[in-house]
Amino acid sequence: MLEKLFKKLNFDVPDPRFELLETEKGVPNERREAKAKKGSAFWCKGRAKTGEGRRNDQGSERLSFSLQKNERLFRALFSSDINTDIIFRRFETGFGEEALVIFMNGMADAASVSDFIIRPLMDAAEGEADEMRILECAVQIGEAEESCEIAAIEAAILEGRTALFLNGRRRALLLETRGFEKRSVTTAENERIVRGPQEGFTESIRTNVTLVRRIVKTRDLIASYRDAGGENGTKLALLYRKNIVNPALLSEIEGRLARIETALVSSSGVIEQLIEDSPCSPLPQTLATERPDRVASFLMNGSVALIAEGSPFALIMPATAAALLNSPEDVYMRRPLGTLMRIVRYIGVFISLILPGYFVAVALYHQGLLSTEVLSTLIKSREMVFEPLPFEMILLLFVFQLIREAGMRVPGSVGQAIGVIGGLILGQAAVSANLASTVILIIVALSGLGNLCIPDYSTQIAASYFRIGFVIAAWLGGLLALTGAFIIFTAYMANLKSFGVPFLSPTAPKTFTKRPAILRGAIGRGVRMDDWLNTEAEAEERANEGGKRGSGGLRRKKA
Amino acid sequence: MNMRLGRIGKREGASACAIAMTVSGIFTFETKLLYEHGNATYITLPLAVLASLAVFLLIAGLMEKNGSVNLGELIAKGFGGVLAPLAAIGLTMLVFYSAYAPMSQFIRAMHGLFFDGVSYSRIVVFTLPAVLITALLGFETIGRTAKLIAPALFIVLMLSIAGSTSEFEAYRLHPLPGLSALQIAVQTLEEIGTFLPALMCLLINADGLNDLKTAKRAGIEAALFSSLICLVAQLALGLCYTYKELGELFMPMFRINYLNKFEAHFMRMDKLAHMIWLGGGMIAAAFCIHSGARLFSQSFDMRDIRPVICAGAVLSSLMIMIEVESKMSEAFFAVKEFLNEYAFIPICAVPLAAALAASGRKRRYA
Repeated sequence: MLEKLFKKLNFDVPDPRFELLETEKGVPNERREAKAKKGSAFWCKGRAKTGEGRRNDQGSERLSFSLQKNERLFRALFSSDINTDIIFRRFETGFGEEALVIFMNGMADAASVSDFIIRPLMDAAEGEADEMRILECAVQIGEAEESCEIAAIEAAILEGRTALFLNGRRRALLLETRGFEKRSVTTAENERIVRGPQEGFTESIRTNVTLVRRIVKTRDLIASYRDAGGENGTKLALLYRKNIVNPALLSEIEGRLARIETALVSSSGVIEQLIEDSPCSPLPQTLATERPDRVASFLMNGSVALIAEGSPFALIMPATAAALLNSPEDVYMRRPLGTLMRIVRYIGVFISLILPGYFVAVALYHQGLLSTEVLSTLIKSREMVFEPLPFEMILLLFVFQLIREAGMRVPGSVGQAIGVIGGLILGQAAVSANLASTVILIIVALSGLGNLCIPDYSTQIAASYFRIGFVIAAWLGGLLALTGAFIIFTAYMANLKSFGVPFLSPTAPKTFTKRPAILRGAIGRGVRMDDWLNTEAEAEERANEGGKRGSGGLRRKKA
Repeated sequence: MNMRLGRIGKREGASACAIAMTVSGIFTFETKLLYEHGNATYITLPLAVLASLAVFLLIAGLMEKNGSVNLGELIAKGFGGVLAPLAAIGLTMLVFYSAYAPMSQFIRAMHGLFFDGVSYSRIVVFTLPAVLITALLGFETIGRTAKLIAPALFIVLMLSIAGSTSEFEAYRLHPLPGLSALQIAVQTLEEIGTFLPALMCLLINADGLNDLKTAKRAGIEAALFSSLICLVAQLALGLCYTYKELGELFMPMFRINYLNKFEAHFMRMDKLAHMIWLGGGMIAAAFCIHSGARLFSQSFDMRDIRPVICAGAVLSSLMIMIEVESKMSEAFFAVKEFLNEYAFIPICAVPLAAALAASGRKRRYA
């Protein structure tokens, strides 16, 4: 019993969290370890544990020389008798060989299969038909690879590629024929900005990677594809700059991805929960964005981005509070305007979190803090309201959340109408029915507006629940409890880490920046990278400067 | 081992230490004792901070020489297996006392100024979780939280002082310098016991600050900053009240806000400032409780610091409740008076003796 309790409390277990901090010599310990690990096929080890292995019991089993046997095998694998989406097409090539193509109807473009694979092969001239000859002369498909492993072929067919088998060959050609329907690139609906690019990600991983590549045209941008680890075989693309990213960070992310074991990975939101440091934390530890320009700016700074098939959101790692609160528009506006916008946003966030709780504390316990005019207005407005003030505040905050949720779930203009109806008519009706007072309505509306200033959706939700916590604290113990709750909240944020990076960087801990994070720096000085990531560029510059600390060796490498 | 140590930098360490020292220097003292014969606190308190810094640097220098990475190790090296735990208990109690003393003052102030109809225990119930949770989250978290809160504390303090400038009168400093040279020296020595524990906390957690060198730098920054703040704050108090008035006031820094009221403003400064200072007091208490628990756990080879932190926080809160709720306030006052006068002796002597003994042993075995 006691042992169980100790285990639950992690008694005598050192903090297992990954650290990306510097040692006294300015070099993270993990970097050395990661360098030592390089080439140890860590990636492959991880992958063996994940989806591919579990999805297919065949493991690394190989093909047979016989076409019939191969066909029987894949028919059995895909249950072709009941699964009519899988197409098996046998035909005789122009050079007299028996061939078989297998593809998934709907996932592969049937026209491409017939026009650029089957027809050219049937029309091919007679002669020896080895794979190279087929690729060079007959098949008119740009991207092709050979494989003899059943699991790899199966995965390729499920992705929409076409497998071409020849009788007497123990290999298959995997031809790029993916042609499923997808949404075209549209504006980023959830992260709207006035100036700057308007493009947003789609559900196609290829399109999303291309959108990023169109902005980051550097040869060191790596897009590494892998299996997400779910049994549904979702593909992931891990994006980073090879010469910039901290190898320890990359290794940690790869390790966490390799440890994913779940049935369904349907979106980046699922992956986020499976790889972040504190999954139970209300605050997100990855930055989800649908803007390619935002991903590009973080990649340039040495962060790692993860794009999942079927999700229009990329995950940026690590994410700090400053990253979650800053908007890409801050950079697109001139420096004073960008700074002002940030200041307004930060004030909005503070108002959103504290104002309802502060008002409850003052109105219930410290009326002396209010001037006579405000106090008399408050008393007058609450004259006929029957519920206690804190309850009224929590009720209205809940109604605000309700209106917001309803507005989001209802499509287009109806959703906007719900916002207006909720805001104006419901508010007015609540006041008339003595369910709410005007002063509290104003406080809730101000707090709601402040909350909407937060650019990140997950952070918005987290903030809206934290403010209810502050209201409850203020209800229980006035400003005293509110102060205690605020200290706990600050300590909680200070304790939080995102992939080894303290959540409150670069403020606490202080990094090289000479200005507070709230002020936008000059673009001309943007040659420096985020210090808290301890990038490779920084390590190299430090090495060049003889390991001198605080050199701020974070300058970008000139391409 | 789970020591909840982590790793922080100079700035975070300095912030935590500076908050603890400033809270001690501005809020903790018993005014009756401090202003009994005259007001020279604007000299004695900054001097006491600088004297504490000198002792801190001396101990840190000796630690560097004998290769101790933190104070716990120094005590173990210096006193050996039998005496070291006893010395550690003594120091731990003094460090816990420096967490208890400001919180006790704050809670009494809260009761007197905000919640006079409420029992003390209810006030303690609201302060204890914040102190306990922050301390449990570890040294790293305490340092970072302190780094975030420190600017707010500084701004509020400066605003309070700036708000009271209209009431400044030079004649209130009479007699100048308030105390005789001997009294100044004695008061300076006595006040070392108020400031040195915060600096000792840095030495206890020196390995969490990367190394002793960083701890030393953090201590220097914290001490210089605190001495300046103490000088300004005590001078402002001296200009606002005569020493006789100060001797009768409870936490005069709270009173300074009442000198200038902003009528008809939605947000009045005074009570809000108290709450922000209370936040500082909570962080200072968490810093001291965590450090005391670390020293204790290290000396008794405890593998997890959290039970000791819980015990320390609860003990401090219980002491406050006993002090204010029971009829033993006079006894507590007597103990406080004794500690105010003589605490500097063990807090200086024990680490110094350990450092000298450790250096002596090293030389003998070399």
